[in-house]
Amino acid sequence: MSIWKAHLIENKNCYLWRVDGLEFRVFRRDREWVYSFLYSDPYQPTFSPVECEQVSYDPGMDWTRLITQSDVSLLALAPRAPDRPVVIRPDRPFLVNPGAQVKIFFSLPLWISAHLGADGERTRKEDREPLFETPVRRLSSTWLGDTMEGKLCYGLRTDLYENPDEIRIYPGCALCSLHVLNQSSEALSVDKLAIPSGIITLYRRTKSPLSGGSFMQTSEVNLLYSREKTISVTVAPRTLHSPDDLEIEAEPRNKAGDSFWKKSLTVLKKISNY
Amino acid sequence: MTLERFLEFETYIVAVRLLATVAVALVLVKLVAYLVGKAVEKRISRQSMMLIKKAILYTGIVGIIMMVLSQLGLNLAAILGAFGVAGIAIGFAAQTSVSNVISGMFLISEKSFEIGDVINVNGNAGIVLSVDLLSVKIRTFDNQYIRIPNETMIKSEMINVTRFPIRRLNFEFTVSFASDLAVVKKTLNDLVAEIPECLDNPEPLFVIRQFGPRGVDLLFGVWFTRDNFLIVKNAVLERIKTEFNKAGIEIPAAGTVAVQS
Repeated sequence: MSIWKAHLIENKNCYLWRVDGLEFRVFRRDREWVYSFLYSDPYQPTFSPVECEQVSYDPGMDWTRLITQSDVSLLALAPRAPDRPVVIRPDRPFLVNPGAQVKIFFSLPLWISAHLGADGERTRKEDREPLFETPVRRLSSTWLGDTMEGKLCYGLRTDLYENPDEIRIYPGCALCSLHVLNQSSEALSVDKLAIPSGIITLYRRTKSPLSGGSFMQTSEVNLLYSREKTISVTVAPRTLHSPDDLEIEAEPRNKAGDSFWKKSLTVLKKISNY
Repeated sequence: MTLERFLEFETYIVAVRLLATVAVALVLVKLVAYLVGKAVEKRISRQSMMLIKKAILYTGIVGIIMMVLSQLGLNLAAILGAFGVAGIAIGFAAQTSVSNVISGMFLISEKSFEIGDVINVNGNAGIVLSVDLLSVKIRTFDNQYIRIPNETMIKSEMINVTRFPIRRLNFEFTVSFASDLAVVKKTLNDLVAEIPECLDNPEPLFVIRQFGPRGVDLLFGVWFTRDNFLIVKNAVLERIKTEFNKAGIEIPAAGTVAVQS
């Protein structure tokens, strides 16, 4: 069962979802929607998500309120890539020898985007009212660059795997593949990797080789260490993916062609010290 | 109609025409300043935009004055000549103002701060509201308006708190000699890792400063993005107290946690 769908929210009822390290509640009273987030502290992931469990409304919680344009009852939950680049720090850093390449995998925590009104009520996507966007796990903040110039990113300490089957992908996370190619004449130390999450597409992989169920996957990120000893980070276009296995679940937050992202990527390349 | 009355009538006409011209010209100058500002606002800093708008405004006003004087039939060359002579006298009398104007030009060309930056001049800290011909205006954090003459700005040491995107906040404190420093370091690093506003890179700084009279003097520095100063300061101090209590780390009774901002 997936949480990434439209949920019917009955009037004057409160519902609870639990995804990864996040627990969130949504309550509706006519046109008034209220929601509340609770993150596990310390981080405790939930592998089996709690879906739309009806709970009693606790007014003592820290609620955020929203009044909608019209009376809607459907809440659409969709995954989104993180809103800042994510700097991956492998638990076990490794070296890639000159001329070598490697494909590595890790699990990337996603964001939940909630919109009101869905199929049948507001069929056009642009008509839906946004309710909230929140990460499934609170990532640390990290600075990529020097102390005078750089970019604020999320930090994620994780293990990298050569075999994707070894990774346990939690609901609310996506499998991210990274292709590292070292064309230079020196070994490349992989102890820090910046993933440009703003330009990655999220796909739903319908036929999982492991469980047979579906899971999220991102576009492939390519990291090239060139002969000139410069790093370039690119995101594979969707045409490279097998169309019968992958369905687009979320478009990139920013189009790669946008000048802002072009600039950001240039900055990332400049400051990542590779 | 007598000649006297005709002259009076002529004078009214001239006056009305002048007033209308001045009003229209002023509106035009302001409109030009606004349009130019709008056209360039996304490409340049707020400070540069303000300077451009003021330059247009002042040039326009000088032009309007010249136009009015010319309309009144006054000889501009003679007036300008008189200004030249008067200028010397005024210059002596307005040394401070002239000094401020020149200092203002240096301040602007030096670009050591701009509108919106948080600066500290002679103990007055606040957000820069404007950089004008004679002075810099700042709003303090307790919402007071301070006008600092440009000359003072040039002569004083000025700290631009928000010049760089990230900052380090230093906490200086003492722990008792009985405390295990490895535990202290781990506790500090762990507590900072739980505060989302604290950066994990650059890593927090841990320095054993010296063995003081009451215990081991430490310095712990935490990096954060410049907008989160108060959040980080409060969160770290609160957590130091809680986590030190839990871990049994003692800050000697007479000791304090000093924050260096």
